[in-house]
Amino acid sequence: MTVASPPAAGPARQFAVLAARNLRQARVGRSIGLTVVFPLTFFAGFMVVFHRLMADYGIAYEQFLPPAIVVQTTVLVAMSACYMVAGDARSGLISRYRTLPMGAAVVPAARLVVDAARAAVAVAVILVAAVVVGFRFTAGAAGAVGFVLLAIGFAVVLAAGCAALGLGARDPEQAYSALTLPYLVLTTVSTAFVPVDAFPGWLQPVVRVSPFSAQVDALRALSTEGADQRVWPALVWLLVLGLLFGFAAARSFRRTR
Amino acid sequence: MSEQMIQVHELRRSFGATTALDGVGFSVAAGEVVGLLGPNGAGKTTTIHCLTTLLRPDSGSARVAGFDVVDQAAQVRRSIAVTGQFAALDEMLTGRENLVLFGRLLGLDRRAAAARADELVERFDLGEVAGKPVRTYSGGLRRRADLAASLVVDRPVLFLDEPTTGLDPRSRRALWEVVRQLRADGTTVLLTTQYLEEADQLADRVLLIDHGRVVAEGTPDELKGRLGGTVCEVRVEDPRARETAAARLREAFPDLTEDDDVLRVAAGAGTLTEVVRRLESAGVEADDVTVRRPTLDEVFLSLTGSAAGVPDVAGAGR
Repeated sequence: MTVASPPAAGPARQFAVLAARNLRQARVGRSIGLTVVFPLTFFAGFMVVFHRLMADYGIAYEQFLPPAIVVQTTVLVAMSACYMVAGDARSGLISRYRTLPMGAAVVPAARLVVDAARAAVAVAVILVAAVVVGFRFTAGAAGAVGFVLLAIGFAVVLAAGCAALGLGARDPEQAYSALTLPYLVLTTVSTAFVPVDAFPGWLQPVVRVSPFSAQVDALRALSTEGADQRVWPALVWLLVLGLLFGFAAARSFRRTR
Repeated sequence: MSEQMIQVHELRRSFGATTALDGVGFSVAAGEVVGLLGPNGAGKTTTIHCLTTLLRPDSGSARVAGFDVVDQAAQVRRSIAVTGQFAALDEMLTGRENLVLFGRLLGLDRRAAAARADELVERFDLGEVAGKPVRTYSGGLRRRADLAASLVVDRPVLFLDEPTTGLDPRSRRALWEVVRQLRADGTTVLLTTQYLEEADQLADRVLLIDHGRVVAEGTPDELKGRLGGTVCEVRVEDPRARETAAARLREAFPDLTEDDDVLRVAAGAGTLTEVVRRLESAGVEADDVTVRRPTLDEVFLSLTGSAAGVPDVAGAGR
Protein backbone atom coordinates (compact mmCIF):
# COMPACT_ATOMS: atom_id res chain seq x y z
CA MET A 1 0.00 0.00 0.00
CA THR A 2 2.45 2.61 -1.13
CA VAL A 3 0.06 4.77 -3.13
CA ALA A 4 -2.91 6.29 -1.37
CA SER A 5 -6.20 5.73 -3.17
CA PRO A 6 -7.24 8.88 -4.99
CA PRO A 7 -10.74 10.08 -4.29
CA ALA A 8 -13.07 8.71 -6.93
CA ALA A 9 -13.62 11.01 -9.87
CA GLY A 10 -16.53 13.41 -9.55
CA PRO A 11 -19.74 12.57 -11.40
CA ALA A 12 -19.02 15.15 -14.13
CA ARG A 13 -15.68 13.54 -14.95
CA GLN A 14 -17.13 10.03 -14.85
CA PHE A 15 -19.96 11.17 -17.10
CA ALA A 16 -17.54 12.65 -19.64
CA VAL A 17 -15.31 9.56 -19.63
CA LEU A 18 -18.24 7.18 -20.10
CA ALA A 19 -19.93 9.35 -22.72
CA ALA A 20 -16.73 9.32 -24.76
CA ARG A 21 -16.61 5.56 -24.41
CA ASN A 22 -20.26 5.17 -25.48
CA LEU A 23 -19.73 7.44 -28.45
CA ARG A 24 -16.92 5.22 -29.55
CA GLN A 25 -19.09 2.14 -29.09
CA ALA A 26 -21.70 3.77 -31.35
CA ARG A 27 -19.09 4.52 -34.01
CA VAL A 28 -17.49 1.08 -33.86
CA GLY A 29 -20.89 -0.60 -34.06
CA ARG A 30 -21.90 1.63 -37.02
CA SER A 31 -25.13 2.07 -35.12
CA ILE A 32 -26.04 5.32 -36.88
CA GLY A 33 -25.83 3.69 -40.29
CA LEU A 34 -28.07 0.89 -39.14
CA THR A 35 -30.64 3.19 -37.60
CA VAL A 36 -30.81 5.25 -40.81
CA VAL A 37 -30.65 2.65 -43.57
CA PHE A 38 -33.93 0.95 -42.70
CA PRO A 39 -35.98 4.15 -42.46
CA LEU A 40 -34.41 5.48 -45.67
CA THR A 41 -35.31 2.30 -47.52
CA PHE A 42 -38.78 2.53 -46.10
CA PHE A 43 -39.00 6.14 -47.15
CA ALA A 44 -37.97 5.40 -50.72
CA GLY A 45 -40.34 2.44 -50.99
CA PHE A 46 -43.35 4.25 -49.59
CA MET A 47 -42.71 7.28 -51.76
CA VAL A 48 -42.59 5.17 -54.91
CA VAL A 49 -45.67 3.12 -54.05
CA PHE A 50 -47.99 5.63 -52.40
CA HIS A 51 -46.96 9.03 -53.67
CA ARG A 52 -49.39 9.15 -56.59
CA LEU A 53 -52.14 7.33 -54.75
CA MET A 54 -52.00 9.82 -51.86
CA ALA A 55 -51.90 12.71 -54.32
CA ASP A 56 -55.29 11.49 -55.64
CA TYR A 57 -56.62 11.95 -52.10
CA GLY A 58 -55.12 15.40 -51.90
CA ILE A 59 -52.19 14.51 -49.65
CA ALA A 60 -48.72 15.71 -50.56
CA TYR A 61 -46.89 12.59 -49.46
CA GLU A 62 -43.43 14.16 -49.69
CA GLN A 63 -44.61 16.52 -46.96
CA PHE A 64 -46.73 14.00 -45.06
CA LEU A 65 -44.32 11.07 -44.84
CA PRO A 66 -40.94 12.50 -43.60
CA PRO A 67 -42.15 13.17 -40.01
CA ALA A 68 -43.18 9.50 -39.84
CA ILE A 69 -39.77 8.41 -41.09
CA VAL A 70 -38.15 10.67 -38.49
CA VAL A 71 -40.19 8.98 -35.76
CA GLN A 72 -39.14 5.63 -37.16
CA THR A 73 -35.46 6.50 -37.04
CA THR A 74 -35.67 7.92 -33.51
CA VAL A 75 -37.37 4.74 -32.29
CA LEU A 76 -34.63 2.66 -33.90
CA VAL A 77 -32.00 4.81 -32.17
CA ALA A 78 -33.70 4.08 -28.86
CA MET A 79 -33.98 0.37 -29.58
CA SER A 80 -30.32 0.10 -30.46
CA ALA A 81 -29.55 1.72 -27.09
CA CYS A 82 -31.25 -1.27 -25.50
CA TYR A 83 -29.08 -3.56 -27.58
CA MET A 84 -25.86 -1.82 -26.57
CA VAL A 85 -26.74 -1.64 -22.89
CA ALA A 86 -27.79 -5.28 -22.83
CA GLY A 87 -24.49 -6.19 -24.48
CA ASP A 88 -22.57 -4.32 -21.79
CA ALA A 89 -24.68 -5.99 -19.12
CA ARG A 90 -24.04 -9.42 -20.56
CA SER A 91 -20.29 -8.94 -20.89
CA GLY A 92 -20.11 -7.99 -17.21
CA LEU A 93 -19.00 -4.41 -17.84
CA ILE A 94 -22.09 -3.01 -16.10
CA SER A 95 -21.45 -5.22 -13.09
CA ARG A 96 -17.96 -3.81 -12.85
CA TYR A 97 -19.35 -0.29 -13.00
CA ARG A 98 -21.67 -1.29 -10.20
CA THR A 99 -18.78 -2.23 -7.94
CA LEU A 100 -17.09 1.13 -8.55
CA PRO A 101 -17.83 4.31 -6.64
CA MET A 102 -20.06 5.89 -9.29
CA GLY A 103 -23.06 8.16 -9.00
CA ALA A 104 -26.32 6.35 -9.71
CA ALA A 105 -27.18 8.62 -12.62
CA VAL A 106 -23.78 8.59 -14.32
CA VAL A 107 -24.17 5.41 -16.35
CA PRO A 108 -27.71 6.16 -17.64
CA ALA A 109 -26.85 9.82 -18.32
CA ALA A 110 -23.73 8.94 -20.29
CA ARG A 111 -25.87 6.55 -22.29
CA LEU A 112 -28.60 9.08 -23.04
CA VAL A 113 -26.36 11.95 -24.08
CA VAL A 114 -24.84 9.72 -26.74
CA ASP A 115 -28.28 8.57 -27.82
CA ALA A 116 -29.24 12.22 -28.22
CA ALA A 117 -26.23 12.76 -30.46
CA ARG A 118 -27.01 9.65 -32.48
CA ALA A 119 -30.61 10.78 -32.85
CA ALA A 120 -29.47 14.22 -34.04
CA VAL A 121 -27.32 12.71 -36.77
CA ALA A 122 -30.00 10.23 -37.82
CA VAL A 123 -32.67 12.95 -37.99
CA ALA A 124 -30.35 15.17 -40.02
CA VAL A 125 -29.76 12.40 -42.55
CA ILE A 126 -33.48 11.72 -42.94
CA LEU A 127 -34.23 15.44 -43.33
CA VAL A 128 -31.64 15.83 -46.06
CA ALA A 129 -33.22 12.94 -47.95
CA ALA A 130 -36.66 14.42 -47.37
CA VAL A 131 -35.68 17.83 -48.67
CA VAL A 132 -34.29 16.20 -51.80
CA VAL A 133 -37.72 14.77 -52.65
CA GLY A 134 -39.54 18.02 -51.90
CA PHE A 135 -40.11 18.23 -48.14
CA ARG A 136 -40.03 21.81 -46.82
CA PHE A 137 -40.22 23.55 -43.45
CA THR A 138 -42.96 26.00 -44.37
CA ALA A 139 -43.28 27.40 -40.83
CA GLY A 140 -39.80 28.86 -40.76
CA ALA A 141 -36.71 28.37 -38.65
CA ALA A 142 -38.45 28.25 -35.27
CA GLY A 143 -40.63 25.40 -36.45
CA ALA A 144 -37.63 23.57 -37.85
CA VAL A 145 -35.71 23.92 -34.59
CA GLY A 146 -38.75 22.76 -32.62
CA PHE A 147 -39.10 19.81 -35.01
CA VAL A 148 -35.53 18.65 -34.46
CA LEU A 149 -35.63 19.16 -30.67
CA LEU A 150 -38.91 17.29 -30.33
CA ALA A 151 -37.57 14.42 -32.45
CA ILE A 152 -34.40 14.17 -30.34
CA GLY A 153 -36.40 14.46 -27.12
CA PHE A 154 -38.61 11.58 -28.21
CA ALA A 155 -35.53 9.47 -28.98
CA VAL A 156 -33.97 10.21 -25.59
CA VAL A 157 -37.13 9.44 -23.62
CA LEU A 158 -37.63 6.15 -25.43
CA ALA A 159 -33.92 5.36 -25.08
CA ALA A 160 -34.23 5.80 -21.31
CA GLY A 161 -36.93 3.14 -21.25
CA CYS A 162 -34.97 0.90 -23.58
CA ALA A 163 -31.79 1.32 -21.51
CA ALA A 164 -33.66 0.35 -18.34
CA LEU A 165 -34.93 -2.71 -20.15
CA GLY A 166 -31.47 -3.50 -21.50
CA LEU A 167 -29.86 -3.25 -18.06
CA GLY A 168 -32.17 -5.94 -16.78
CA ALA A 169 -31.85 -8.11 -19.87
CA ARG A 170 -29.52 -11.05 -20.15
CA ASP A 171 -29.48 -11.37 -23.90
CA PRO A 172 -29.13 -8.36 -26.24
CA GLU A 173 -30.71 -10.14 -29.25
CA GLN A 174 -33.67 -11.22 -27.18
CA ALA A 175 -34.18 -7.80 -25.64
CA TYR A 176 -34.01 -6.15 -29.04
CA SER A 177 -36.44 -8.54 -30.68
CA ALA A 178 -38.81 -8.15 -27.73
CA LEU A 179 -39.04 -4.48 -28.71
CA THR A 180 -39.64 -5.15 -32.40
CA LEU A 181 -43.28 -6.17 -32.07
CA PRO A 182 -44.46 -3.15 -30.04
CA TYR A 183 -42.46 -0.99 -32.42
CA LEU A 184 -44.23 -2.40 -35.49
CA VAL A 185 -47.66 -2.21 -33.88
CA LEU A 186 -47.17 1.30 -32.56
CA THR A 187 -45.89 2.69 -35.86
CA THR A 188 -48.55 1.07 -38.05
CA VAL A 189 -51.46 1.75 -35.67
CA SER A 190 -50.75 5.47 -35.72
CA THR A 191 -51.05 8.39 -38.09
CA ALA A 192 -47.51 7.77 -39.31
CA PHE A 193 -48.34 6.51 -42.79
CA VAL A 194 -52.02 7.27 -43.31
CA PRO A 195 -54.40 9.83 -41.78
CA VAL A 196 -56.59 8.73 -38.89
CA ASP A 197 -59.79 8.49 -40.98
CA ALA A 198 -58.19 5.79 -43.10
CA PHE A 199 -58.50 3.40 -40.13
CA PRO A 200 -61.69 1.42 -39.37
CA GLY A 201 -63.95 3.25 -36.94
CA TRP A 202 -63.29 0.99 -33.95
CA LEU A 203 -59.54 1.48 -34.27
CA GLN A 204 -59.62 5.24 -34.66
CA PRO A 205 -59.73 6.03 -30.88
CA VAL A 206 -56.63 3.89 -30.39
CA VAL A 207 -54.86 5.67 -33.22
CA ARG A 208 -55.84 9.03 -31.77
CA VAL A 209 -54.37 8.45 -28.30
CA SER A 210 -51.22 6.69 -29.50
CA PRO A 211 -48.02 8.45 -28.41
CA PHE A 212 -46.64 7.75 -31.86
CA SER A 213 -49.58 9.56 -33.48
CA ALA A 214 -49.05 12.46 -31.09
CA GLN A 215 -45.38 12.62 -32.03
CA VAL A 216 -45.96 12.38 -35.78
CA ASP A 217 -48.80 14.93 -35.70
CA ALA A 218 -46.70 17.37 -33.69
CA LEU A 219 -43.78 17.02 -36.10
CA ARG A 220 -46.16 17.59 -39.03
CA ALA A 221 -47.50 20.71 -37.36
CA LEU A 222 -44.03 22.06 -36.69
CA SER A 223 -42.96 21.49 -40.29
CA THR A 224 -46.05 23.09 -41.83
CA GLU A 225 -48.11 25.58 -39.80
CA GLY A 226 -45.73 25.88 -36.84
CA ALA A 227 -46.41 25.23 -33.16
CA ASP A 228 -50.17 24.89 -32.70
CA GLN A 229 -52.47 22.83 -30.49
CA ARG A 230 -51.26 19.63 -32.19
CA VAL A 231 -47.93 19.95 -30.37
CA TRP A 232 -49.43 19.66 -26.88
CA PRO A 233 -50.27 15.95 -26.87
CA ALA A 234 -46.69 15.17 -27.90
CA LEU A 235 -45.30 17.32 -25.11
CA VAL A 236 -47.58 15.70 -22.55
CA TRP A 237 -46.52 12.26 -23.72
CA LEU A 238 -42.89 13.32 -23.62
CA LEU A 239 -43.27 14.50 -20.04
CA VAL A 240 -45.13 11.41 -18.86
CA LEU A 241 -42.84 8.93 -20.58
CA GLY A 242 -39.81 10.99 -19.58
CA LEU A 243 -40.70 10.77 -15.89
CA LEU A 244 -41.56 7.10 -16.10
CA PHE A 245 -38.60 5.94 -18.14
CA GLY A 246 -36.19 8.39 -16.55
CA PHE A 247 -37.02 6.98 -13.15
CA ALA A 248 -36.73 3.42 -14.45
CA ALA A 249 -33.34 4.13 -16.02
CA ALA A 250 -31.91 5.88 -12.96
CA ARG A 251 -33.15 3.08 -10.72
CA SER A 252 -32.04 0.22 -12.90
CA PHE A 253 -28.34 0.95 -12.50
CA ARG A 254 -28.22 1.01 -8.73
CA ARG A 255 -30.94 -1.53 -8.26
CA THR A 256 -29.57 -4.17 -5.92
CA ARG A 257 -31.43 -7.33 -6.72
CA MET B 1 -2.68 -6.50 12.78
CA SER B 2 -5.89 -7.77 14.25
CA GLU B 3 -8.19 -5.31 12.53
CA GLN B 4 -11.04 -7.15 10.79
CA MET B 5 -11.37 -6.09 7.17
CA ILE B 6 -14.33 -8.31 6.39
CA GLN B 7 -16.95 -9.25 8.96
CA VAL B 8 -19.89 -11.37 7.89
CA HIS B 9 -22.61 -12.22 10.35
CA GLU B 10 -25.54 -14.59 9.78
CA LEU B 11 -25.95 -13.55 6.16
CA ARG B 12 -29.03 -14.94 4.46
CA ARG B 13 -30.25 -14.64 0.92
CA SER B 14 -32.81 -16.56 -1.10
CA PHE B 15 -33.72 -16.54 -4.76
CA GLY B 16 -37.36 -17.59 -4.83
CA ALA B 17 -37.48 -21.02 -3.26
CA THR B 18 -33.72 -21.50 -3.44
CA THR B 19 -31.74 -20.60 -0.35
CA ALA B 20 -28.33 -19.44 -1.53
CA LEU B 21 -27.00 -18.16 1.80
CA ASP B 22 -28.23 -19.73 5.00
CA GLY B 23 -26.55 -17.78 7.76
CA VAL B 24 -23.01 -17.61 6.43
CA GLY B 25 -20.60 -15.97 8.86
CA PHE B 26 -16.86 -15.39 9.02
CA SER B 27 -14.28 -12.68 9.33
CA VAL B 28 -11.07 -11.82 7.56
CA ALA B 29 -8.26 -9.94 9.27
CA ALA B 30 -6.32 -7.15 7.59
CA GLY B 31 -3.62 -8.56 5.34
CA GLU B 32 -5.03 -12.05 5.36
CA VAL B 33 -5.68 -14.14 2.24
CA VAL B 34 -8.75 -16.28 2.76
CA GLY B 35 -10.08 -18.88 0.37
CA LEU B 36 -13.79 -19.60 0.07
CA LEU B 37 -14.13 -23.14 -1.11
CA GLY B 38 -17.33 -24.98 -1.88
CA PRO B 39 -19.19 -27.26 -4.26
CA ASN B 40 -21.79 -26.29 -6.84
CA GLY B 41 -24.23 -23.67 -5.61
CA ALA B 42 -22.69 -23.60 -2.15
CA GLY B 43 -23.10 -19.84 -2.03
CA LYS B 44 -19.57 -18.64 -2.79
CA THR B 45 -20.45 -16.25 -5.57
CA THR B 46 -23.59 -15.05 -3.79
CA THR B 47 -21.41 -14.21 -0.79
CA ILE B 48 -19.05 -12.20 -2.99
CA HIS B 49 -22.00 -10.46 -4.65
CA CYS B 50 -23.31 -9.38 -1.25
CA LEU B 51 -19.91 -8.18 -0.06
CA THR B 52 -19.28 -6.18 -3.26
CA THR B 53 -22.68 -4.42 -3.03
CA LEU B 54 -24.07 -6.12 -6.13
CA LEU B 55 -26.67 -7.98 -4.14
CA ARG B 56 -28.66 -7.06 -1.06
CA PRO B 57 -28.82 -9.72 1.64
CA ASP B 58 -32.26 -10.66 2.99
CA SER B 59 -30.97 -10.57 6.56
CA GLY B 60 -27.79 -10.60 8.55
CA SER B 61 -25.04 -8.04 8.22
CA ALA B 62 -21.69 -7.64 6.61
CA ARG B 63 -19.00 -5.01 6.93
CA VAL B 64 -16.14 -4.48 4.53
CA ALA B 65 -13.27 -2.19 5.59
CA GLY B 66 -15.50 -1.20 8.49
CA PHE B 67 -18.46 -0.13 6.33
CA ASP B 68 -21.85 -1.77 6.20
CA VAL B 69 -22.46 -3.26 2.73
CA VAL B 70 -26.08 -2.09 2.66
CA ASP B 71 -26.14 1.22 4.52
CA GLN B 72 -22.67 2.38 3.49
CA ALA B 73 -22.45 0.83 0.05
CA ALA B 74 -20.78 3.92 -1.44
CA GLN B 75 -17.95 3.77 1.10
CA VAL B 76 -17.57 0.03 0.56
CA ARG B 77 -17.16 0.64 -3.17
CA ARG B 78 -14.34 3.06 -2.41
CA SER B 79 -12.53 0.38 -0.45
CA ILE B 80 -12.72 -2.65 -2.71
CA ALA B 81 -11.34 -4.04 -5.92
CA VAL B 82 -13.27 -6.82 -7.63
CA THR B 83 -12.21 -9.38 -10.17
CA GLY B 84 -14.65 -12.03 -11.18
CA GLN B 85 -16.33 -13.69 -14.06
CA PHE B 86 -19.34 -11.49 -13.44
CA ALA B 87 -17.40 -8.23 -13.61
CA ALA B 88 -15.60 -7.81 -16.87
CA LEU B 89 -13.81 -5.42 -19.16
CA ASP B 90 -14.96 -3.49 -22.18
CA GLU B 91 -14.61 -5.96 -25.03
CA MET B 92 -14.42 -3.24 -27.64
CA LEU B 93 -11.50 -1.37 -26.10
CA THR B 94 -7.90 -2.54 -26.05
CA GLY B 95 -6.39 -3.82 -22.83
CA ARG B 96 -4.52 -0.59 -22.27
CA GLU B 97 -7.57 1.55 -23.06
CA ASN B 98 -9.51 -0.39 -20.47
CA LEU B 99 -6.87 0.34 -17.86
CA VAL B 100 -6.98 4.03 -18.75
CA LEU B 101 -10.80 4.03 -18.73
CA PHE B 102 -11.00 2.58 -15.23
CA GLY B 103 -8.18 4.80 -14.01
CA ARG B 104 -10.08 7.86 -15.23
CA LEU B 105 -13.34 6.65 -13.70
CA LEU B 106 -11.54 6.17 -10.40
CA GLY B 107 -10.19 9.67 -10.31
CA LEU B 108 -6.78 9.60 -11.96
CA ASP B 109 -6.15 12.45 -14.35
CA ARG B 110 -5.31 11.71 -17.96
CA ARG B 111 -1.57 11.64 -17.44
CA ALA B 112 -1.68 9.59 -14.23
CA ALA B 113 -4.10 7.11 -15.78
CA ALA B 114 -1.80 6.62 -18.76
CA ALA B 115 1.25 6.16 -16.54
CA ARG B 116 -0.58 3.70 -14.33
CA ALA B 117 -1.80 1.76 -17.38
CA ASP B 118 1.76 1.43 -18.67
CA GLU B 119 2.92 0.25 -15.27
CA LEU B 120 0.21 -2.43 -15.11
CA VAL B 121 0.82 -3.54 -18.70
CA GLU B 122 4.42 -4.10 -17.68
CA ARG B 123 3.63 -5.81 -14.40
CA PHE B 124 1.03 -8.17 -15.88
CA ASP B 125 3.11 -8.92 -18.93
CA LEU B 126 0.47 -7.59 -21.32
CA GLY B 127 2.91 -5.70 -23.51
CA GLU B 128 2.32 -7.64 -26.72
CA VAL B 129 -1.45 -7.48 -26.60
CA ALA B 130 -2.03 -4.18 -24.80
CA GLY B 131 -2.94 -2.55 -28.11
CA LYS B 132 -5.45 -5.19 -29.18
CA PRO B 133 -9.17 -5.27 -28.35
CA VAL B 134 -10.01 -7.36 -25.30
CA ARG B 135 -12.49 -9.45 -27.29
CA THR B 136 -9.53 -11.02 -29.11
CA TYR B 137 -7.89 -12.14 -25.84
CA SER B 138 -7.51 -15.73 -24.73
CA GLY B 139 -8.92 -16.77 -21.36
CA GLY B 140 -5.64 -16.36 -19.52
CA LEU B 141 -4.90 -12.96 -21.00
CA ARG B 142 -8.38 -11.77 -20.26
CA ARG B 143 -8.12 -12.78 -16.62
CA ARG B 144 -4.77 -11.06 -16.30
CA ALA B 145 -6.11 -7.90 -17.87
CA ASP B 146 -9.17 -8.14 -15.66
CA LEU B 147 -7.08 -8.36 -12.52
CA ALA B 148 -4.90 -5.50 -13.74
CA ALA B 149 -8.01 -3.36 -14.19
CA SER B 150 -9.05 -4.08 -10.60
CA LEU B 151 -5.70 -2.85 -9.37
CA VAL B 152 -5.67 0.47 -11.20
CA VAL B 153 -5.92 2.17 -7.83
CA ASP B 154 -4.83 0.58 -4.58
CA ARG B 155 -7.66 -0.73 -2.47
CA PRO B 156 -7.33 -2.35 0.93
CA VAL B 157 -9.64 -5.27 0.08
CA LEU B 158 -9.56 -7.40 -3.05
CA PHE B 159 -12.25 -9.89 -4.04
CA LEU B 160 -11.29 -12.58 -6.51
CA ASP B 161 -14.11 -14.75 -7.80
CA GLU B 162 -12.67 -17.92 -9.31
CA PRO B 163 -9.63 -16.09 -10.66
CA THR B 164 -8.10 -19.02 -12.51
CA THR B 165 -11.09 -21.12 -13.57
CA GLY B 166 -10.46 -22.44 -17.05
CA LEU B 167 -6.86 -21.27 -17.23
CA ASP B 168 -3.88 -23.30 -18.35
CA PRO B 169 -1.34 -24.17 -15.63
CA ARG B 170 1.14 -21.52 -16.73
CA SER B 171 -1.38 -18.69 -16.62
CA ARG B 172 -2.65 -19.99 -13.32
CA ARG B 173 0.80 -19.85 -11.80
CA ALA B 174 1.34 -16.35 -13.13
CA LEU B 175 -1.88 -15.23 -11.44
CA TRP B 176 -0.92 -16.93 -8.19
CA GLU B 177 2.32 -14.99 -8.24
CA VAL B 178 0.39 -11.74 -8.49
CA VAL B 179 -1.83 -12.69 -5.57
CA ARG B 180 1.24 -13.50 -3.48
CA GLN B 181 2.71 -10.11 -4.32
CA LEU B 182 -0.52 -8.45 -3.28
CA ARG B 183 -0.43 -10.25 0.01
CA ALA B 184 3.13 -9.12 0.49
CA ASP B 185 1.89 -5.56 -0.06
CA GLY B 186 -0.63 -6.02 2.72
CA THR B 187 -3.79 -6.31 0.65
CA THR B 188 -6.60 -8.30 2.23
CA VAL B 189 -7.84 -10.90 -0.25
CA LEU B 190 -11.00 -12.99 -0.26
CA LEU B 191 -10.97 -15.48 -3.11
CA THR B 192 -13.37 -18.16 -4.19
CA THR B 193 -12.08 -21.13 -6.01
CA GLN B 194 -13.11 -24.52 -7.22
CA TYR B 195 -9.49 -25.64 -7.12
CA LEU B 196 -8.46 -27.07 -3.81
CA GLU B 197 -4.87 -26.80 -4.86
CA GLU B 198 -5.36 -23.10 -5.38
CA ALA B 199 -6.68 -22.61 -1.85
CA ASP B 200 -3.80 -24.72 -0.59
CA GLN B 201 -1.28 -22.60 -2.49
CA LEU B 202 -2.61 -19.14 -1.79
CA ALA B 203 -4.79 -19.00 1.27
CA ASP B 204 -3.67 -18.41 4.83
CA ARG B 205 -7.02 -19.76 5.86
CA VAL B 206 -9.71 -21.74 4.09
CA LEU B 207 -13.45 -21.54 4.66
CA LEU B 208 -15.36 -24.56 3.49
CA ILE B 209 -18.84 -23.49 2.48
CA ASP B 210 -21.76 -25.75 1.73
CA HIS B 211 -25.50 -25.07 1.43
CA GLY B 212 -24.93 -21.41 2.24
CA ARG B 213 -23.10 -22.01 5.51
CA VAL B 214 -19.49 -22.22 6.59
CA VAL B 215 -19.01 -25.87 7.54
CA ALA B 216 -15.34 -25.77 8.47
CA GLU B 217 -12.48 -23.34 8.63
CA GLY B 218 -8.81 -23.43 9.34
CA THR B 219 -5.45 -23.36 7.64
CA PRO B 220 -5.12 -25.89 4.84
CA ASP B 221 -2.92 -27.99 7.12
CA GLU B 222 -5.39 -27.90 10.00
CA LEU B 223 -8.18 -29.04 7.73
CA LYS B 224 -6.13 -31.89 6.37
CA GLY B 225 -5.17 -32.80 9.92
CA ARG B 226 -8.83 -33.37 10.70
CA LEU B 227 -8.82 -36.46 8.57
CA GLY B 228 -6.20 -37.91 10.86
CA GLY B 229 -2.80 -37.68 9.37
CA THR B 230 -0.93 -39.59 6.76
CA VAL B 231 -2.12 -42.69 4.94
CA CYS B 232 -0.32 -45.44 3.09
CA GLU B 233 -2.04 -46.62 -0.07
CA VAL B 234 -1.39 -49.81 -1.97
CA ARG B 235 -2.88 -50.18 -5.42
CA VAL B 236 -3.29 -53.70 -6.73
CA GLU B 237 -5.26 -54.09 -9.93
CA ASP B 238 -5.55 -57.87 -9.98
CA PRO B 239 -8.53 -58.76 -7.69
CA ARG B 240 -7.12 -62.07 -6.47
CA ALA B 241 -3.73 -60.62 -5.67
CA ARG B 242 -5.49 -57.75 -3.93
CA GLU B 243 -7.42 -60.20 -1.75
CA THR B 244 -4.21 -61.93 -0.78
CA ALA B 245 -2.51 -58.65 -0.02
CA ALA B 246 -5.47 -57.41 2.02
CA ALA B 247 -5.48 -60.54 4.15
CA ARG B 248 -1.77 -60.28 4.79
CA LEU B 249 -1.83 -56.55 5.59
CA ARG B 250 -4.85 -56.80 7.84
CA GLU B 251 -2.87 -58.98 10.24
CA ALA B 252 -0.67 -55.98 11.02
CA PHE B 253 -3.14 -53.19 10.21
CA PRO B 254 -6.64 -54.03 11.41
CA ASP B 255 -7.87 -50.56 10.32
CA LEU B 256 -7.31 -51.40 6.64
CA THR B 257 -9.95 -50.07 4.28
CA GLU B 258 -10.59 -50.92 0.64
CA ASP B 259 -11.59 -48.43 -2.01
CA ASP B 260 -11.86 -49.89 -5.51
CA ASP B 261 -8.39 -51.29 -6.20
CA VAL B 262 -6.73 -49.34 -3.39
CA LEU B 263 -5.97 -50.65 0.09
CA ARG B 264 -5.49 -47.91 2.64
CA VAL B 265 -3.98 -47.93 6.13
CA ALA B 266 -3.07 -45.18 8.57
CA ALA B 267 0.65 -44.53 8.29
CA GLY B 268 3.13 -43.97 11.08
CA ALA B 269 6.88 -44.50 11.45
CA GLY B 270 7.93 -47.71 9.74
CA THR B 271 4.57 -48.37 8.12
CA LEU B 272 5.91 -48.25 4.58
CA THR B 273 8.69 -50.77 5.29
CA GLU B 274 6.24 -53.09 7.02
CA VAL B 275 3.75 -52.86 4.13
CA VAL B 276 6.39 -53.56 1.49
CA ARG B 277 7.81 -56.49 3.52
CA ARG B 278 4.37 -58.08 3.90
CA LEU B 279 3.53 -57.64 0.21
CA GLU B 280 6.81 -59.33 -0.72
CA SER B 281 6.26 -62.26 1.62
CA ALA B 282 2.75 -62.69 0.23
CA GLY B 283 4.19 -62.70 -3.27
CA VAL B 284 2.01 -59.80 -4.38
CA GLU B 285 3.37 -57.27 -6.83
CA ALA B 286 1.63 -53.97 -6.12
CA ASP B 287 0.97 -51.59 -8.99
CA ASP B 288 1.65 -48.63 -6.73
CA VAL B 289 2.57 -47.94 -3.12
CA THR B 290 2.39 -44.41 -1.78
CA VAL B 291 2.46 -42.57 1.50
CA ARG B 292 0.66 -39.26 1.49
CA ARG B 293 -1.27 -36.74 3.48
CA PRO B 294 -4.98 -36.46 2.72
CA THR B 295 -5.86 -33.89 0.08
CA LEU B 296 -8.24 -31.03 0.67
CA ASP B 297 -10.47 -32.91 -1.74
CA GLU B 298 -10.85 -35.69 0.76
CA VAL B 299 -11.42 -33.25 3.59
CA PHE B 300 -14.10 -31.73 1.47
CA LEU B 301 -15.75 -34.99 0.70
CA SER B 302 -15.78 -36.03 4.32
CA LEU B 303 -17.23 -32.74 5.50
CA THR B 304 -19.81 -32.02 2.83
CA GLY B 305 -20.59 -35.41 1.38
CA SER B 306 -20.10 -34.03 -2.11
CA ALA B 307 -17.06 -33.50 -4.23
CA ALA B 308 -15.70 -30.10 -5.09
CA GLY B 309 -13.88 -29.36 -8.28
CA VAL B 310 -16.96 -28.86 -10.46
CA PRO B 311 -17.70 -25.36 -11.77
CA ASP B 312 -19.99 -23.40 -9.51
CA VAL B 313 -23.33 -23.12 -11.30
CA ALA B 314 -24.47 -20.01 -9.49
CA GLY B 315 -21.16 -18.37 -10.33
CA ALA B 316 -21.33 -19.27 -13.98
CA GLY B 317 -24.57 -17.42 -14.57
CA ARG B 318 -24.07 -13.80 -15.41
